[in-house]
Amino acid sequence: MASEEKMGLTRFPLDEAFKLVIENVSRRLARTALTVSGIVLSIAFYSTLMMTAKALSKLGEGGAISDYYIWMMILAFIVSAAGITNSVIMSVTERTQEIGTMKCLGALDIHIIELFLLESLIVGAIGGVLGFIIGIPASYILISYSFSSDVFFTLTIRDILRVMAGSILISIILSVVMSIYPTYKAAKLNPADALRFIV
Amino acid sequence: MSTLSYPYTVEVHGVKKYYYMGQNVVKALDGVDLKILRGEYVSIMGPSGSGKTTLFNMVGGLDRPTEGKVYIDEVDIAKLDAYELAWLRCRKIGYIFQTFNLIPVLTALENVTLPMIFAGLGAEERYKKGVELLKRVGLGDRLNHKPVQLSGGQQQRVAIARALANDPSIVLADEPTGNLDLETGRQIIELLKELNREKNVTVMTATHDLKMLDVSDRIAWLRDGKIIRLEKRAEVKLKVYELKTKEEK
Repeated sequence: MASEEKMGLTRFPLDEAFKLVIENVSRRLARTALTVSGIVLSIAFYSTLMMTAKALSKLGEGGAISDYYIWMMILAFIVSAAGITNSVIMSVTERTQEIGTMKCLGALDIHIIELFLLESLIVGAIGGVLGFIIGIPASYILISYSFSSDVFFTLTIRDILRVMAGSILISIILSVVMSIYPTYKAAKLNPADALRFIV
Repeated sequence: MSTLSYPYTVEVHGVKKYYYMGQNVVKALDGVDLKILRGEYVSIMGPSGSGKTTLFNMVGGLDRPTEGKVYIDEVDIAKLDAYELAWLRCRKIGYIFQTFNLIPVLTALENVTLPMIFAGLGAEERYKKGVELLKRVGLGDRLNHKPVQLSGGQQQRVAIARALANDPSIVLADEPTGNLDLETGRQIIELLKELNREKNVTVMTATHDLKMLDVSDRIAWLRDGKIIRLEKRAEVKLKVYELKTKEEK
């Protein structure tokens, strides 16, 4: 008969995963900065356009932003999405042996996914906040240049908070969604193959 | 039947591992039988390409055999699902690698406590046990060093402490001295032997390091995926042809 000992589940609590992610992010600062900058660009663009649109709507003159800007924004999102996927693929590839080791120590596929998606979430949040912060002076300049600075100050705190929430949310979703495929692929590797893997 | 009364930690029955590469079949393991007693120190000796690492992967539950069965503490590991397998790797098996494989962003202590996190131990207990283990391997003063701040020998000591973190039944070591100089390698081998005696933990090493002979209870000579001889330490009479590769023979 098999061993009497009951087999349990191995665990990886979120706070422990979070600590490891913070270490990973801060120790690979250059890589993180590169990924974040891609997100910042598109989010800054997004928040600028949203604030401008809100200010213009107060002016009561149609208030729409032109299709040209909308398309520019979509393009910026596509570029940053590609950048995120690329950087996650690199980060996963670089750490394939580490993934194999963690599986030897008891990690489940879901723990590996947890680790990488948490990292994407944090990177997305940082990108969203920075992008929004850059968006404020950018929209001020855009509005002052096209109309007058008074128009910018018609924006209420509420408007600005809304744009901030939107920026961070979109940034996190973008970052996490684009990371799912490479992360899932890495987590599925069997430990023997992951350990053998040489970059 | 209780686990303790059963004499074997590891049983390998007719294990084969074939890799298919186009038309060719590579027989990495071609029918291996091996039983390892509780507390025994067994070395798998063989030249590179003889199937040592493949056997290591099979016994460690890191890969599945094409044919045959592997039992760890009487459990047929082919019958385990992904969750049970992870639990087995976490609690029953300690792994030591040629390349140390420490997590680079974590300190020595954090590396040792990581398997205890997976095992569900509380923070206090993890800290206590981690410090104790690192002291035992002679790194009591290096708890908060990152792997890059440690020498190869020190990194392997951390890896040994990590392998023992959850009091496994068996420690598997794949070429543990492969990346170390002669003297450091000797120290690591001695440490493994001491811990083997102290904790009565079964040790299986895959190696071609002949320094390993003296500490081993038994030696399995692996050649082209088969165990050609299995002998006790006293029976080993080394002949020069053992050291040659197949082509030279």
